[in-house]
Amino acid sequence: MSQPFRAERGGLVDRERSLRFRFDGAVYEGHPGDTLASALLANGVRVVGRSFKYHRRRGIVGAGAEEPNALVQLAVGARTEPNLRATQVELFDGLAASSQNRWPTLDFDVGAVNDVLSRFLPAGFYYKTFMWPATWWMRYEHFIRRAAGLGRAPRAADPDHYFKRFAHCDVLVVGAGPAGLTAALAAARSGARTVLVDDGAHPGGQLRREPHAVDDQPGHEWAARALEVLRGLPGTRVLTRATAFGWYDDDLVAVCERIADHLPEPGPHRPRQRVWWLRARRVVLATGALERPVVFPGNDLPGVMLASAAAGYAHEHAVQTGRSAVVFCNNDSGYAAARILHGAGVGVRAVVDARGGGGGTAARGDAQTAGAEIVTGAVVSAARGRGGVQSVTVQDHDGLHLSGSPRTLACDLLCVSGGWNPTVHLFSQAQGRLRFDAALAAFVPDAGRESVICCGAARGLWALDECLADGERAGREAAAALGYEPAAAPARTAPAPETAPTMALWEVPDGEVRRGKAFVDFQNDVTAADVRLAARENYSSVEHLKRYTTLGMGTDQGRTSNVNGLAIMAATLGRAIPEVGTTTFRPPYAPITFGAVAGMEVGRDYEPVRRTPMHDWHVAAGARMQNVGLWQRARYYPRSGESMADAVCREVRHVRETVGIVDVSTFGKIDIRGPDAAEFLERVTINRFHNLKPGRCRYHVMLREDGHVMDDGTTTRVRDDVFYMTTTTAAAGAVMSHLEYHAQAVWPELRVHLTSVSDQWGGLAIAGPRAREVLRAALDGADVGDEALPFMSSREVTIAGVRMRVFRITFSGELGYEVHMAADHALTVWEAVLDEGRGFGVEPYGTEAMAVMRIEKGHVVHAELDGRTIPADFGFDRMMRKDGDFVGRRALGREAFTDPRRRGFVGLVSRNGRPIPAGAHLVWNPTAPVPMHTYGHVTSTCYSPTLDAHIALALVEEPAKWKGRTLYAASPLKRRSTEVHITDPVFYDPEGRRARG
Amino acid sequence: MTEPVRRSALEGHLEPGRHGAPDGARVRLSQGRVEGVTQLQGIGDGAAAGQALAALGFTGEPAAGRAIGGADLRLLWNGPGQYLAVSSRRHEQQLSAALNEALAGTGACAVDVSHARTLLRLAGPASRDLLAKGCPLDLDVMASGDCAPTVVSHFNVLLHCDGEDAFELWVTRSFAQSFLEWLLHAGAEYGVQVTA
Repeated sequence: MSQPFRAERGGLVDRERSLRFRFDGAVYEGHPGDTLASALLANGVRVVGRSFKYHRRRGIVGAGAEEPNALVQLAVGARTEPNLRATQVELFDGLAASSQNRWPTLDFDVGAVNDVLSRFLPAGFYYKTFMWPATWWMRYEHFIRRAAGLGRAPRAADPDHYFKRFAHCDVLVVGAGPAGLTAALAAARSGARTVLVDDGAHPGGQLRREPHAVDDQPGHEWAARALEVLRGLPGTRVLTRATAFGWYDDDLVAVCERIADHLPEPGPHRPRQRVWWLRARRVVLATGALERPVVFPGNDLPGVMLASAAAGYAHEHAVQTGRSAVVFCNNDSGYAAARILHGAGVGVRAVVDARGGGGGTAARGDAQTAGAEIVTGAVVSAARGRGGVQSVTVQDHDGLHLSGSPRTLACDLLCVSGGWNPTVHLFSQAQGRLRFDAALAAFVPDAGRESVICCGAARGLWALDECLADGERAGREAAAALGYEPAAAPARTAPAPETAPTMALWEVPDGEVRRGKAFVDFQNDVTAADVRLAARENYSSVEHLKRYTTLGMGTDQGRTSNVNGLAIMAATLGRAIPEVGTTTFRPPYAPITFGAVAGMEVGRDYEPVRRTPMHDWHVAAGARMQNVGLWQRARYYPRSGESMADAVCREVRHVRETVGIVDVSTFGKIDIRGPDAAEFLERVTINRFHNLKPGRCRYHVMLREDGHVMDDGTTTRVRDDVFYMTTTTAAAGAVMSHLEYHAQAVWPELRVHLTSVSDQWGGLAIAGPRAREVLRAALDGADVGDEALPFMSSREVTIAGVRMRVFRITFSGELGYEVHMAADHALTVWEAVLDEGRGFGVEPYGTEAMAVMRIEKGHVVHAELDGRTIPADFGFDRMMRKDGDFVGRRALGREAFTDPRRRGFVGLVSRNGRPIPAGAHLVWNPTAPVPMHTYGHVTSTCYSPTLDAHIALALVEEPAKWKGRTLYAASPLKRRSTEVHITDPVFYDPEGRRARG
Repeated sequence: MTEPVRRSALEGHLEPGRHGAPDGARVRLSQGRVEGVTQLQGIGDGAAAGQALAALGFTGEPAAGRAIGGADLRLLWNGPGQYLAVSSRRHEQQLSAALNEALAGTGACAVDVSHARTLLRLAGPASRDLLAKGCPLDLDVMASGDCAPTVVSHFNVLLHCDGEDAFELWVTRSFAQSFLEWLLHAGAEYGVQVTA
């Protein structure tokens, strides 16, 4: 298959091998070493996409991340990815890409009607038009959303793996062009741990795009050798296909490495991409520079390219981006491009140089070599053609206006060089200041962090010899700052041509008075007229200009447009460019995929799962599991044909009538010991602990500093100076931190040590009238009678070699015990209790039955302890220590806490047999217009099989007044309300006889 | 009566064999088993630490981030004033009782956490690469004998380097299975050889 625009010789592609690929369904061929862009150009494909707003035909402009036009959708199905720059997509066999933002085809696109209507669609059209009538926004939105956005996101789950990883180094060098390579070599040879990252597949930067010679070797060969040397140095790492996309605090640089994007599929177990979080002690930025276009009418025609891109395709890929070229420039690099194009067989008609004096000696030699006419003091005032550039108009100018008579030159390629912008994104992200350098007509790095060093073209040095030497300097500087002894600098030879200075030229003169759109931002279709309109409408800040016109947004983030845009704005406002300034640079430098950001943290690895020692048993027993924080707990154990409600009611009845066991391993457990442990506990809870006898348990309540209840649980005095605290599952971590803080920072003088033993102990609770019989059977005869183990007491037993601590405490209101045993034995004990207790009818129950029983008993959990309640709300003030201080005590005197109308704890019983909605508010008349006064709210609700009624716990103002009366529990969200009778919150066994039995 | 066999958090979940990439296992993973694990609290620093550790038979003050000792008793630094005391020989309760006895009067104490931690051993040329996927520490400079309480992905891990590219990973018991799954996923590209 022919590649009509592939030069016969040259290039760094592997001509021996051919790769077949598809673009919009047509089959083409390219070679290894091609990008999708170079391969398309080699096949003469000039129109690669439609622009965002006007749907104009667009061609390839650049050769890298700066590409505004050639955005393609790659692959199909789950691996499809939109908005990839064809200039950065490496060609592989079988690659399939399609153009974007066109319907039905690239050639015939309905959306192109926008171009015809463009005079009615100025900047800010959207803001000006769709704001009235305000109520119509919902209708507009539907259509705007359809028109917005580029490309299509995949609908299926991503089949590939993405990882992140951390790494540390002494010196991180970003960019492996001439400066980056010498910087990395200098740093690594001094012994510094060095990482070099480059976003290309084949580092070398400008050394691959232009025919340079370093140390008498071809530039790309010198670069390859330098890379080999670096890879061989110990402690040095080279990452290719890796884009440093963000700088974060303390020199943490994020790098996205595209491991398998150049392959059809990553291969089994191989990641597609990996994000590196590199912590560097010194960061050397050798990020190079990007060429700038010039604004003139017709500058978006396919065939108008950056001169460096055209030269790069010619030299690196042996691709002719046209047959007959005109070069338009304001600096010497356009002449070099002419020479390189000529070398690849492209005819160069003329070099149109805006500078009156033309280029330097070397530049003139380049034009002569190319056989190109040199036209100085002139500009390309317009490009014309259908579907691509066919001719350009060349005219003299005096800096302010065009002059003389226009002259038309036929050509199919216009190479533009408007000067160079150093790539300062990372430097700017690293809080570096920028300075406008009038001589270079560009923003260059100014003052920055001590740890961030710019070198080479990134700081405005264009000549190869300067870049090589500057990289060497930066690498040595970075290493020396860290105490490494740099090796002697090697002598390098590279050409050092005389050059003439760049002339500032952003837009061709008289652009505002002529017809034809002159584009500043190709990707967002922002014209010079749009920028001037915004300035006239008083958008005088560059940040506002960006948001109003969308200049500089999108995948290219204005790499080719920002400086031109703000220069045109400055000229319109009559201000100097430094006064206007630049927009803020933010990560990411180039688009990265959501997959890379998410890394492993998707699906099962999104967050960890905590499992109790009995987890597998629950699953095998058919339990429905429930996520409680990170824990998985058994919610209920349905039997065949049972609904959740059936199963929960059965489990509750069984515990109330017989006996059940439940896994309580998830409770937080804290070992508190030391001579001052009791004193410490009195300071962090509202309870008394000095008088608690060893072997006895106490219900404790812990407050925050602001007086609100933080958590509750039981604390057992194991020995004089050893306490064992349990916390709720949900607050275990927070309580541990709270206690650690007070022990370490508030009262460091207290001799107390805290150890989390949550995972040391598994736990099970046995509850029900026959609990003691089951326990006795399981314990093999140990005395657990009421005398030996009274209510709220504890003892340690060792049965079958397993250490256990038995607590006579209950959450269900039944006779109950908690058994805590070393976790690796917990399942053995659980099975033993079920086995030994079978004769007494023991059955497992889940968290749902536990929740129902605690509501029946009026026990509080975090639904009630929601961070807004205080002890008095639940009557806990009765157990509060009268003397001494504790965390939160002083806050309890606050006005709102003593307000007689403050809500207090009550029970609710549904009067009509209907459920009480969760979160409902208690109102007098549910049909009254909202907002209405609410007397309180429902905190927990359930169906009580014991009472055969729907019940709830609630907080209501003036509870004493409301008890015995009726309100409505109204849930506007669920559009339900239920008449409820207000009762005492303890529905079941209020005297507590069963627990003490 | 003899104590029943301990049933670890990974019982039934540690599948011996090759996981992930089939060509060469660059990571080896196994479960480590020890007898007693004790959390030492309030060891303090400077002279007080030296005194407390002398009571346990160690000479001098160990540096932060280092592990000392041998099979009978080794101490892994686990934060300021804290160590994980590990014994491959001494049984759990006996270990904590003996340590508490030895530490009496020093202000320090020992709490038995033998069942609270699950030990995984990771080794092989890619073990640092694997850990770097979740651990923000500078693993290149971690040498044998270094230890650090840190995080690996979402997991709190006491990381102990105990040989060339060999690590002990002490993870909270309830997270052990989840951590194992994470290790196998993160290690798949290197190939993981799991031994029981």
